[in-house]
Amino acid sequence: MSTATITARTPSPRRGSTVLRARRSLVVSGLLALLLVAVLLSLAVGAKPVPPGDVWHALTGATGTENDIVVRSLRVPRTAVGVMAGIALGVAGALMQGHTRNPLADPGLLGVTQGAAFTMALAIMTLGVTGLYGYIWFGLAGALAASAGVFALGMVGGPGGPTPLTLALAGTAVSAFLYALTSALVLLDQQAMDVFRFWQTGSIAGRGAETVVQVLPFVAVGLLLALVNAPGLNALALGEDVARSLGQNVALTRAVGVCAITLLTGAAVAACGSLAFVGLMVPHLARPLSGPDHRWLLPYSGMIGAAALLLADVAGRVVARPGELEAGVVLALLGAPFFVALVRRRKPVRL
Amino acid sequence: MRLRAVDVKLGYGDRVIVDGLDLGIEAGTVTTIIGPNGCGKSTLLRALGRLLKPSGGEVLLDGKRIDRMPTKEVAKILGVLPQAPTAPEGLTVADLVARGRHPHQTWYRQWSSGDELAVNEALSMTGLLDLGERPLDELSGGQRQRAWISMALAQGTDLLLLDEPTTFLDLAHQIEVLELVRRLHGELGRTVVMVLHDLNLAARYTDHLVAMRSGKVVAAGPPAEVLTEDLLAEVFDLAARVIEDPVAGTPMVVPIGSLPATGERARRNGALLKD
Amino acid sequence: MTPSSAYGPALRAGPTSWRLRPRPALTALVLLAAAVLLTGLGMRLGDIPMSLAEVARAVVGDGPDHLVVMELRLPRALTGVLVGAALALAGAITQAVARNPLASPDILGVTPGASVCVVAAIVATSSAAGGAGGTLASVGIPLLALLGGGVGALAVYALAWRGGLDGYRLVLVGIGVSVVFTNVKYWLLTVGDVNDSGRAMVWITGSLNGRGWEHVVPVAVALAVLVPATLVGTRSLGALRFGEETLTGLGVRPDLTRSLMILAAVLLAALATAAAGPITFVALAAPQIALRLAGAAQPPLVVSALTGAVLTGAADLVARTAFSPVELPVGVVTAVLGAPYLIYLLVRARRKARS
Repeated sequence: MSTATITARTPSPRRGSTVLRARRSLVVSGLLALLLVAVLLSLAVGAKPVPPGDVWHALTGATGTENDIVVRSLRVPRTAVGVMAGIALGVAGALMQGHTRNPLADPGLLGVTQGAAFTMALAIMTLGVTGLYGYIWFGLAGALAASAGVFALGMVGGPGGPTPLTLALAGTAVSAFLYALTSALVLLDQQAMDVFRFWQTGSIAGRGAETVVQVLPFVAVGLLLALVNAPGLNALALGEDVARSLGQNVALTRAVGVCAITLLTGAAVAACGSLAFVGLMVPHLARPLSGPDHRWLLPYSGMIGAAALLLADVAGRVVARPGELEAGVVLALLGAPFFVALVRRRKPVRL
Repeated sequence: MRLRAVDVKLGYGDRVIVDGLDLGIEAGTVTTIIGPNGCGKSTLLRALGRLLKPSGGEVLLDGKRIDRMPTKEVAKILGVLPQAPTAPEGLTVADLVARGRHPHQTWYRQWSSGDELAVNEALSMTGLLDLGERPLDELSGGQRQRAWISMALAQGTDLLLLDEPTTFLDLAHQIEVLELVRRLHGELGRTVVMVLHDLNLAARYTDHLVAMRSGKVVAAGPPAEVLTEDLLAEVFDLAARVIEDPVAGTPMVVPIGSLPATGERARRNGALLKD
Repeated sequence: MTPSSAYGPALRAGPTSWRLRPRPALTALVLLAAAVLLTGLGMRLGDIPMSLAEVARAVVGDGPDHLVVMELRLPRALTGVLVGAALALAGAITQAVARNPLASPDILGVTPGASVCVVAAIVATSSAAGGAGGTLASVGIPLLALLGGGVGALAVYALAWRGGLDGYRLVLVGIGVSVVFTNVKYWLLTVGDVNDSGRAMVWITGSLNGRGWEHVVPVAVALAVLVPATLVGTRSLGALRFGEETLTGLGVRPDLTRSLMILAAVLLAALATAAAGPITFVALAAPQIALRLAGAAQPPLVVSALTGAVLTGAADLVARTAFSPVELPVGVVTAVLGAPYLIYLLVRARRKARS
C-alpha cells in the first residue's frame, strides 16, 4: 500500500468504523439467527417430532394437546437450561482466558467443576440425596466453596490480589485434589458412582422448569458481573502497569471476574454436569470474530456457547434413536473436530 | 510542586533499590531522569506513577498522598507509560488509543463525543491518524511507540510520566517524540517526567535534569548546571568533554572513553551479577 | 569477587566443560535419596510386613523371602517410582515446548488416547464376554494403552503440523483432540455396567496393584535411553522459551527441536501410562514443584523426574497403608499429597515476593 492512497482518504481514525459497524451487525445478526435456529430445532426435534406450526401453537396458545404438553413441559425447560448453560459457559470461558491470559484455561479451572462433583458425590453417599433437584444445590455450594477457597489461597501472602499464574496453578491443584477425593468416594460407593458417571458426561436432558428457576438467578448475576468486568479486562489486557495507570483497580477487577466465573460455571455444571470444556473451546471460536475487545468477545462467546450446546443436544436426540446421546459426547464428537479444523485453517489469535 | 517523593524507599521483595530519596516536580516543567542502567530511574518513575508502592516514605500528588487517592481520580490527573508495554494480538491503533479514555468512562457512558475528540486529537498529534485501523502488531517499532504515547495522551492528563519513550526509535523519530513533548509542555502546559538515555537530547528538551546513581539523586537542576564533565565521571564512569551544542546552545556530551570503575561501581556490578 | 562467579563453578577437563549449578544439583541428590528410601519402604509392605533390614537381607540373601521381594515387591515399588519419573519428565518437556505451565501430556493426546482405548476394552469385554481374563488384563491392557496413546499423539501431531510446529497451535489442537477422547471416555463409562465403570475408574486414576517386572522393564528402558537424550536437548529446550527469531539466531532449529522433544515426551508418557495408567496430577504438578524447589526459571528435567518419582513413591506408600487393608489407587493419593504441597510452595513464593 502506498502512502499516497492512505493520505488520500479522509483523515479520520474511525473512517473504518462504518465498515466495522457493518461487520459487527452482520456477525451479531448471524449469531442471533444461529441461536434462534438452534432454539427452534430444540423445541421441535426429539423422540416425538413436533411440526413447527404445533410448536408455535404450544408457545402462544396451548390448548392441552399432546404436542402442547411435550413442548411446554419438556422441551421448553430443557431448551432454556441449554441456552442458559451455554451462555454461562461461553462467557465464563472468555472471562477465564482473559484473566489468566492462558488459552488452556477452562472456566472450571478455579476448582468449580470438581468442587461441584465432590459435594454432589458426598451428598449422595452420606445423606442419601437422590434426584437431580436435590443435588443441584449441593453442586452449587461445592462450586462456590472451591472457587472461594482457591481465590483465598491466591490472596494469602500479600495484598494486591493474586497473579493469574498463582490463581491458575492453585486452581489446578485444588481441582486435582477434589477430583482425587471424588474418585475415592465413587470407588467406595456404587450408588454415587452411578450418578457421578452420568453427571460427568454432561447433559441437559430431563431438566425441568425447576432447574431453570434454580439456575436462573446465578446466571443472571454472573452475566451482570461479567458485563461490568469487560472494560476492566480490556485495560488488564494491556498489562498490569498500564491498567493501573489507567486507573483500574487490578485486584478488584480480578475479584469481580472470579465471582462472575464462579457463578456462571457453578450454575452450569451443577445443572448440566461437567461441560466446562464448552467454555474452553468457544472463546477460541469467538475471538477471530470479535477481536480483542472483551465487550464484544463476551457476548459472542455466550451466543456461540448456547447455540453449540443446543445443536449438540438436538443431534444427540436424533443419532441414537430411540435412545439419546448426551449433549456432552455429541459436542465433543462434532464440536471438537470443528474446533480443530478452524484452528488449523487460520493463524490462531493469541491472547 | 505537583508531584513529590518524600524520603521514599523502593524495591522489589527483599531487594532495596532506592532508599531515602526526595524529589519534587514543578508544575509545567519537563523533567528528565538520567543515570546508568539499574540505577533506579524506572523504579522511581513507577513509584511516582503509583505503580509501585513505596515501602517507606510517601509520594504526594498535589499535596495529597497518592496511594490514598482513588486510583481512577489519579488516572485523570496523571498518566504513566511503562517501558515496553504489551498489547493483545489484533488490537488496532485506534482501539489502543481509545483504551486511554478508560478513566473517563463508566458502564453507562462508554464512548462519549469527548472521548472521540480526545482520541482523534491524540492520534493527530502523533501523526497516526491514517494508521488508526491498522493492527498494532503490523506496525514498525517507531509507529508502535507513537501509538502507545498516543494512548497516554488520550488519557488527557496534566501530568505525564514516560519511561524511555524513545527506545526503538531512529534519531528522526526520537526528535519527533521529543518535539511532541515540548509541544505538550509549551502549548498545553502539561508537566512531563521522562526517563531518557540520550544525554544530548535530554539536555536539549528538558528544563530540569535529575542525575541518579545507585538509587540516589546525585545532582538536579537545569541541564547546563547538571551536565558537567565531573558529573559524567561520577555518575556514568565516563570520560567526556562537554561542549556547547552549536544548534541549541545546551550542553553537549562528546564521550572520550569509559573510566576505570570506581569502588562503588565495582561493588554494584558484583551485586548485579549475583542476582 | 570476580564477575565469573556469577556463572557458578565449572568443571573443565580437556575439551569438555560443564557448568555446575549447586542448588538444582543438591535438590536432585536429596530427591534421589528420598526415592531410594521410598522404594525400600514400599518393599516392606505386603502379606508379611518386613523391616527395612529384613528387606535388605532378603534382597541379597537366598531365603524364601528373596523370591517374594524380588518377584513381587521390588517390581511393584520400582514401577511406581519409574512411572512417576517418566510422567514427570514428559510433563516437564511438554510445559517447556508449549511454554505453558498448565500443559501436561494430556494435550499431546497420549493419556486421553490411552484412557479411551482401555476403558472401551474394559467395558466391552466384561459384560459381553463374561469378564476379561488375566492375560488380557496383564498383556492386553498395556498394549491397548500403548496403541491408544500412539494414535492420540499422532492425531495431535499431524493436526498441529502446518508447515512447521507452532507451540500455540499445538496447544489448541491438543485441547480439541483431548476433549474428544475425554468425553468419549466419560460416555463409555455410562454405557456399561456400574462394576465395569468402577474397574475402569481405577485404571484411569492410575494403579500399581499387581505390577511386575513386565511393567518395569519398558519404562526403565525408556528412561535409560530418553533421559540422556533429553538432557542433550536441554540446552535447546531452554532456548525454546525465547521467541522464534531469537531461537534461529541462537542456532537452534525450532521445529526439529520441538518435534524431537515431543517425541520423547510421547514415548515416556505412553510407556508409563501403559504400565500403571495415567496417574493423576504427576505430569502437571511434578515439574511445577521441581521448578520451585530448584529455583529455576523453567522446569528442570532431572529434578522434575526425581520429584515425580518421589511423589508417586510416597503416594503409593500412603495408598497402601492409610486405609489398610483397603488399598486405594495410587492416583487418588498423588493429588492429595501433591496439591497441598504445590499450593504451599506457591504461597511461600508469594510471601517472599511481597514482603
